Amino acid sequence: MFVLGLCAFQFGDRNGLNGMPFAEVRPLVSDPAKARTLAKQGNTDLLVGQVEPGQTVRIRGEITDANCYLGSRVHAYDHAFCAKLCAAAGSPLVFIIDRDGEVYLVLSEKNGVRLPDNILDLIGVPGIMVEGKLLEASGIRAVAIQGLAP
Amino acid sequence: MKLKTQDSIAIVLCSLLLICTAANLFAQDAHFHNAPSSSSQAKNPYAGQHRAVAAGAKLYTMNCGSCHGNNGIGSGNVPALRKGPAQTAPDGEVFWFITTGSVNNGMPSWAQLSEQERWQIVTYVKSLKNSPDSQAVQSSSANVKPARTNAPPPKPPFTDFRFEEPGKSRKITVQDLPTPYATETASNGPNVVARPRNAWPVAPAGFTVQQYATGLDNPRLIRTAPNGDVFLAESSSGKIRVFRGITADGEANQADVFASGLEEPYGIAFYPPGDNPEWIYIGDTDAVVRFPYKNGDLKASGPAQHIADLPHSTGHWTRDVRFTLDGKKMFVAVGSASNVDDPDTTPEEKDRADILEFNPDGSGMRIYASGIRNAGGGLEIQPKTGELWCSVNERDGLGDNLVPDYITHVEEGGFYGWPWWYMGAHQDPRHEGKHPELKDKVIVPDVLLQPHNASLEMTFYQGTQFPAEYRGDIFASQHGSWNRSVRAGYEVIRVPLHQTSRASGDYEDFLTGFVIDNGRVWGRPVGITVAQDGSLLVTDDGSNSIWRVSYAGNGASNEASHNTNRSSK
Repeated sequence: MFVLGLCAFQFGDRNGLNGMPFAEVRPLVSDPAKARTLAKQGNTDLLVGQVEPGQTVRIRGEITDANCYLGSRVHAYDHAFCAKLCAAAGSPLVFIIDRDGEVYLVLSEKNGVRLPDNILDLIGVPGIMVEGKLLEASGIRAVAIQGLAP
Repeated sequence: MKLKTQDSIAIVLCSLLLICTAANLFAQDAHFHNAPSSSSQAKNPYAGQHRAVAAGAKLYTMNCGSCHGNNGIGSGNVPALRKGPAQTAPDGEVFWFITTGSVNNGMPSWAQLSEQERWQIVTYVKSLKNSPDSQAVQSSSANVKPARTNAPPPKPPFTDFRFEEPGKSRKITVQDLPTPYATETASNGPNVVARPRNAWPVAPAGFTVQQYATGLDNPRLIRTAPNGDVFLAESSSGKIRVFRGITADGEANQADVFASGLEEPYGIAFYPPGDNPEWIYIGDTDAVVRFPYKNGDLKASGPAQHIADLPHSTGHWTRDVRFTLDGKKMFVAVGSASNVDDPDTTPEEKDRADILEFNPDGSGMRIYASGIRNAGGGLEIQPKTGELWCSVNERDGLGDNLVPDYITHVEEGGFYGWPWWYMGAHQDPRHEGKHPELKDKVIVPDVLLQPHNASLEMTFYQGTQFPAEYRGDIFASQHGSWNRSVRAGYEVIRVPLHQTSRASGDYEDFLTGFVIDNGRVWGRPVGITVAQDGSLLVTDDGSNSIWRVSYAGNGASNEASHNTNRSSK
């Protein structure tokens, strides 16, 4: 009994963080130190700040929201406001590569860290050049964007 | 979420405009918009707090300013929030109205904002009360000093707003084009502000500029009827307005709403061609409709008749409409759904980026010319030759100086490149290797304009008021760039035909002065027509005005006109 209790103590979600409502989690993105403290106290995993692996590449294309692009093929500047609204509502972002039209899921370079505003401001702008790392898992391709190419 | 949803949001936001009108209606009531008496007892927890004012200002700008105007100054014919009932009512009643809204007054409920945010907006609005007029409007209509733009001068023949000058001649050729991505793509959309007191459109010496009409709602294409009445598409509000006559001050004598309830009207054409039309055709984004019309009508005498469906899903929405001189065919320009998506793999691009031809009854649709990214902003028939011409917005994302917009005559069956090619045998790098068979079939347009200018309506000058050398020339409105690091366009240009029916590729700046600096503009030319007296009328959906440019001879100056016009207000 003592051993089982110790395991639960060490590996369990001590403070019920995994059941925390999303609306309460969302503000913690702006306060990663607090999130780390909570995770430590709650004995839960937290990969915030972990950098995605891979080699940095440069790709040119356009960022838009997945809802509109995959559902209606709508994108580009006339759609930028809509795309930003959808992204703000939680739609994943995708990157359409100029060269071949291939579509990649957009990730931030570091877990739990928002994409920088200067990237988000360019949603819907064709022909932007970004630096990032290409990832692939289970048939899904993604680019973890580090920033605009200098 | 589709564009139409955006439109709906915009409509809802703009309905906020009605709060002020409604505020006047209820000015005599005991409570602001019939707010319950209990609401007046609610105490503003942030009253007078500077931080709340600052937070409220941001919220106001995001949610309210587009309709109520910067700093609560109102917009168009909407009265200001910084005075009137919104200021005299208790904070709690204003809070109640923001929360509750009023369907009848077009004011949506803003209950989705947090209570704190609604109070912050109230606090901000109340803070405007003691602002003297000059302070309240300082950011929008005072004399404004342009912010310095540190970008180096453009390399000719390319230019930008800093070097636009009435009378300045320009010519861009395919040999001048840079390689794709020579410069980075830019997101430099205009921040449209109220016209500063010291700002006025600038025309060449000898021409005067007057404000023909203002307080309009998104004035777009404008076209003169055979009897001289001037018809205007107010696209956002779905209206066709009509103006008659010109006063000594250059203003319209009479104005009316010819038709309303349209979807997004833009193109206007009178049919049959000649002095006695029987119909007005409207390019209404997803359809062509027509209203019965005879000379002198200020109101449509019957409902809209559906003529033809047009391809439409998203993207470019303007649909100009013209008839051949013999009236046997109707042209409708339908722009692309996207920037450069491949029609081979994108069903939404079917029958788009084309100029379509119909019989006047809407039957017999066929593609007249293709590969034209968006000519929806301006079609015109050359009055002597009967040739179709168009004004075209080219593509984005290849850098500051690609791809030039253009004005050209249109060849039947002609292919103009989009999306695989541009300006002759230049392949778009986004479609590398595609359609090599088209390489040598891409027509190079007649007049290459500054890339990203957003060239819209064009007209052939058939008046007699301007000097003889202007006779037959093209004038075209340039709405202005967003995809350029230093903005260009925001002007009216003249394309001289040199007394021929052909353009030689050169054009010149004609009406400028709409840009304050690289961040702010106050005017955006859209439509252009020749009035019955030979003056030019230019619509501007930045200041929601129509400008009149007339020729007064060598002794006149633009500044004199400006002063005359201001003193007459």
